[in-house]
Amino acid sequence: MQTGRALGWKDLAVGMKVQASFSVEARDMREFALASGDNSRIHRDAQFAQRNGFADRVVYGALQVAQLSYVVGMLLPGDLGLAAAWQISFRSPLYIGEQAELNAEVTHLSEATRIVSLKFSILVGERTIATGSAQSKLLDDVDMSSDSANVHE
Amino acid sequence: MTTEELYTKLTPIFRDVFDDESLAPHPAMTAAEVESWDSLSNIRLIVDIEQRFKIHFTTAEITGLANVGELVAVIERKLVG
Repeated sequence: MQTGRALGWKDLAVGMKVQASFSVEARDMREFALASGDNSRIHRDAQFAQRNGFADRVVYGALQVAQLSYVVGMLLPGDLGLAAAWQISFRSPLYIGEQAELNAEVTHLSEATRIVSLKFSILVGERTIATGSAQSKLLDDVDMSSDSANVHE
Repeated sequence: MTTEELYTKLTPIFRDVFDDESLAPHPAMTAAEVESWDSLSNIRLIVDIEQRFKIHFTTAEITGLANVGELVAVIERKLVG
């Protein structure tokens, strides 16, 4: 499996941006229902969704959060990050097969705590699907093998 | 900003971070007095203060603080500088 880019503290700057495109497919919905146990009607029953004013069954919010996990774990800050806090507000429904973009931007860097703060939005075209914020602690890139080697030098 | 005003602005931050609506930070308050004040919530407190007051702490400034009064003194120095 691919690993994320390993940005160090000096590589980061307020205003840095990343973007990731994604779509959620019917198979993802089925697999998430199995993994989570959440099989509620708004996610499985298109007619029920339509009767309640939606165009189709609604994608699980957690599958959008999964894309946030991809962005912070693989892109910004990437491989050395540890998620500390996530906040998300769902603004409008995401539907199966829609091409969405998650845009994230660094808003604050706390050197004393090594916390990287991001704001993000998920869009389908001009439609805002979700907005939120995330904080990751940047861990040290500790190389245990070289430390061990030094001990024996 | 007076010290009293600073405590007023810190109060909602403390209440949010430590999830306690009755919390009222005061100079002698220590982490030991607040049940949910652990290393992770301490990080959140520092970051929220930085963002609220648009300041940046150094590691040295926040290491070894004995109580809230010492934290407030650091914030006051930052706001003046």
